[in-house]
Amino acid sequence: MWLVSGYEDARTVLGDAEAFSNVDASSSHLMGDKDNLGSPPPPGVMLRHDGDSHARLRLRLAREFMVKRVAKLEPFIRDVVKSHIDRMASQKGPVDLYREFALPVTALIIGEILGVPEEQRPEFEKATAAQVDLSLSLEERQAAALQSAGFFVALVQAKLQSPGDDLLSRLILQPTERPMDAAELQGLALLLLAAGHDTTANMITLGTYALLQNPEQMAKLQDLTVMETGVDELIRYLTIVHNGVLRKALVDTEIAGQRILAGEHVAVVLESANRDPRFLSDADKLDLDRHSAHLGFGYGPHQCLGQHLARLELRVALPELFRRFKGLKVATPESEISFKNDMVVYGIKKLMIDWEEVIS
Amino acid sequence: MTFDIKIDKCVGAGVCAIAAPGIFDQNDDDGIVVVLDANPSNDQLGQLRDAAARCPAAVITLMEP
Repeated sequence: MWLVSGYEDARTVLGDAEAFSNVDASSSHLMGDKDNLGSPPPPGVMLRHDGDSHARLRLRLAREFMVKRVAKLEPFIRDVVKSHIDRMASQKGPVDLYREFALPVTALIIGEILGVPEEQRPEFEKATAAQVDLSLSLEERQAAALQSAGFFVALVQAKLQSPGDDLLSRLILQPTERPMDAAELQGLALLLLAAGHDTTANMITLGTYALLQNPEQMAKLQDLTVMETGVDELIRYLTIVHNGVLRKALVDTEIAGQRILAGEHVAVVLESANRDPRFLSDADKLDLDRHSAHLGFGYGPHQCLGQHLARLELRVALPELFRRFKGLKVATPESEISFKNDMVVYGIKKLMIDWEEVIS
Repeated sequence: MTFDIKIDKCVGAGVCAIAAPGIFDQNDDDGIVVVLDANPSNDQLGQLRDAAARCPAAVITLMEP
């Protein structure tokens, strides 16, 4: 197993899908689960498909996550953010920002895109939150993951029988040479949930924390346009996809002078690439005015499909949190904040926040 | 400055459409790149360079004069 940590080398590996396969692009290397390496990619999970098989899925979905299409979700996102801020405000602080805000907000948004019916939202929210809740035991989390998989089996069946106006229904209804079957739709729905829920939730929590730690950057939020590009700097600075994305060499090749043989695995460490001093000066500093070609969403043909959605959610949620909660602060001593250093998706396990006053 | 695009490599990430919205857009059918302005003016040069650097599939090649 090789680790690639430099910015240019990371781009070389991730950008060359002919030399580096995604077939093992799971987190098995982190779990010591070597048996899972080399298993065939599940249907619909395009993250682990290469070439035409990947392109077929990706290009059917790209339209759903286009900049202009995602922009239409802004009113829904604003409503969800507002109602959850209202709900926190009605409680007396401190509250856990991750559990009370970040997780439900991001679950409801991906649920809306996938077409989860309104009456099933509480069940959906509960199952998705339990899956990533580290205060639960591994067995409890696995049970929640099964429940969530079962939820999608039922959802896909419902959409096949009576399609509506949502992503899954459009995939079912669009004329195409090779329609997606139920297994592919279920795999895809689970992938979109995994990729779009806890990632953005962790970005909201960590982003709030990072801004509170950097008051001179937080002050910049007064200018409502700063997050248009500032959101990318937060994504670079925090780079939540941690501990390496895995590729498998298909041919003998060389990276940074190191010979890599066909069949060997390469883990590309995005968080170190994004702070490579050869890429960016003062890379350890958060600067919302900075503009960069960062790798926070990855690079190459598998680059994050939902990146514009993530940007929009963060652009709405973060300034609104700071606007509504005057005197927002972390309510836990610094030494008690627990970071997800050992997880594939980096974050804060629990972030208790408090405030002085709620602005309407 | 002019540029060339290798449309076969496009994966519809839409990074060009946010980096240089006056030059690039996405096709409604599949999200693939659409060129709005093949001869961008000098004041759009920064945006064009940004789009080329950030495109995840290296679709955009700048033709330096």
